[in-house]
Amino acid sequence: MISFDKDKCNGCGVCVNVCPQGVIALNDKKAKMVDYESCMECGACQLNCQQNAIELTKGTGCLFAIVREDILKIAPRGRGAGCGCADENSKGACC
Amino acid sequence: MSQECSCDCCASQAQESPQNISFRLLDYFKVLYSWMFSFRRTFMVEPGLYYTGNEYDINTPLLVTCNYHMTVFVLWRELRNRNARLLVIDTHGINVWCSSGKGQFSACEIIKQLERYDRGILTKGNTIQLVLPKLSLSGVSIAELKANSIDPKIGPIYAKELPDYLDDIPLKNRNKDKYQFSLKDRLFTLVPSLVQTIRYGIYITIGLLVWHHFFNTHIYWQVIPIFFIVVTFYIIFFPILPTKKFVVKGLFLYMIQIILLSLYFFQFNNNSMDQLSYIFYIFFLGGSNLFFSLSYTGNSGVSNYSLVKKETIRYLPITALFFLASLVTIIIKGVV
Repeated sequence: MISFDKDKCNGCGVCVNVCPQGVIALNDKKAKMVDYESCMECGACQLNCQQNAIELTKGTGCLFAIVREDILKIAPRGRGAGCGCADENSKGACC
Repeated sequence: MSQECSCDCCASQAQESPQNISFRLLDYFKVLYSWMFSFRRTFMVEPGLYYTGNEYDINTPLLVTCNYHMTVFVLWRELRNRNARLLVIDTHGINVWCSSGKGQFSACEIIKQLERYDRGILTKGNTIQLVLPKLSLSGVSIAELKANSIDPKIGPIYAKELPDYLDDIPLKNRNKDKYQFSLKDRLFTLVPSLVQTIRYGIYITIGLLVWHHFFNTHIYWQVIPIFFIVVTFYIIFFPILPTKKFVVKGLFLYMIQIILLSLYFFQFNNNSMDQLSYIFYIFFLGGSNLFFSLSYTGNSGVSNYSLVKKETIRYLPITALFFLASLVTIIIKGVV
């Protein structure tokens, strides 16, 4: 889930510019989600917001990662993808 | 340059030289292999500073990318006929989107690679202008780059747009670029998705073949074409299937398949399909459509963690029930 803190947001628009899906817009100089279902929750907006005005649950939107991390709980957060892309030490892996 | 870098990455001060980047015939096979099995393993390019064209030219744009072999190859194909510079960073062979999401594609890694080279060959001015792939911004902090005398530009999402982008000087930020997940993007995922899914299909076929050998069920090879149809139709028709939820799209396709199967069974069937086979297909198609629509979340590039988690928790047990019911049906068909 993603949420914006209106009090912290200064309307700089960096979140709008970095979003690869164009799902954030400025309304009265405040950032606002306009299409949540198209949001990939990639975290680009949160990482680049200098006001810390964005709360986001970042995860891997992938069946195998969710089964390992959230259901079976056999992999730590962010390390459950079956393709190996989540393993920081993996070599030659990709997804 | 490393004053603001908070990570343990800037110790090396070795001064290296940029290399001309070129790919040979073998690389085309590597790309083909990476494409077919791209969700499992791949090849890597040595991180560092490269250039395309005739010579290294400090006045040409400096683009950043991951060290996933296929990505560098695709960039090289777009840039090979012009002078450009390419900073390949160490993302452990993972593509831009995945590595930025997992932290390997970061401002720190970019700075680490830049530190390997004398500043005089990187820029003539006080700042180093870098073109970032837009999909890297979930891992790259623009503010951190700026604090390290780097002038980042948000580049295009797609490599094919680079020539036009680089021709438009001064370079602009591509703020409005969106990831489209077009038919071409989806077809790119078709082959690896088929390879992944049909691998499971082969295991199931072997099991059913053994059962058929003892009980003459005549159902085993059909699994492969079923998986082929499910995967292909889902990927091609993805955007026009209703809602943005992966499973709902799969359920819609499943309904169409049930209607077609039932039409065949009740209207045109000349005793080539018995009732138990019909029931088996109803269950197996349900499991196949639900399973693929859930597993495609990881291949698609447009999935959303919170929504996929909800769908997985809600529909994975139903998927298992469908497969279990089809298993029970084929067992009954064999023994009755």
